[in-house]
Amino acid sequence: MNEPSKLQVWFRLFWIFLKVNLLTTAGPTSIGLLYKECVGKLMTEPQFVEAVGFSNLVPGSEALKLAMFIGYTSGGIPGVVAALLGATLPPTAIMLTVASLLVRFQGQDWMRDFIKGMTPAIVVLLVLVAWQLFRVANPRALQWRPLLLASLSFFALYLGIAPQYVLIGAGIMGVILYHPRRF
Amino acid sequence: MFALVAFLHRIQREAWLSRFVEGLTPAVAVLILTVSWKVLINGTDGEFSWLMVGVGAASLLAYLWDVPAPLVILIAGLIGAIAFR
Repeated sequence: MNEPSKLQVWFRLFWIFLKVNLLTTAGPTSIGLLYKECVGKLMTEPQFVEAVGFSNLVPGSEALKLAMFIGYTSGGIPGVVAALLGATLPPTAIMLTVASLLVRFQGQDWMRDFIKGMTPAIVVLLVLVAWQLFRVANPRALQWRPLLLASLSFFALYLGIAPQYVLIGAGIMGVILYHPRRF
Repeated sequence: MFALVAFLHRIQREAWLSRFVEGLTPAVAVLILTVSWKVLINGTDGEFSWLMVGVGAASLLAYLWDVPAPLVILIAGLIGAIAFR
């Protein structure tokens, strides 16, 4: 298979982020769709984990952070620009041109029902992506280290600890647990 | 974020970073699961209906058959707009 040209990668980044930001209402919900659109096409699974993980560690808009990370990983600085344009164009266009329409639609029942219909599809996609990532950590059989890290992360999130601290903690534990001389 | 990304790309081949990412993977999976739970609760207003279960099951089948995800989400939204009316 031929490697896509730089121009194709930039255009693809723009198109992906435009599509994802039009179809998802909030930053974290875009993760599932981004996974489907990017992994295997623009980046590898570990790179995607890095993107989601590290974008949770720094403050700011989820959508823009993911756009920057994925854009830079797959297309360098022009990739960042393309991804950011795709991520910011829909809200900007909506704000500038169809804000009044949106305000009218927002209160309408069909818009609420549309989002209600989309919700199970987004949830299933997110669960599938979570499962896929968990499988990356357990390529053959279930291993104790990813299970331990997943359980501890679950309890930490359940206890209300901020996600960025949970991720930093998991990363640090990963550095210790996966050290070849230690275990 | 840009500085962080550039820095990460510089140190990408460091062994400790790959172990850090390995540790991050299960935590990110759990984080995505918790996000999906929040999306479910917020998107449905806590209401349960068999139609939603049906849309969820149909979406699952569609994903497993490699139907493009944006199309699945769009069709699910259209079904919602018609069926929940």
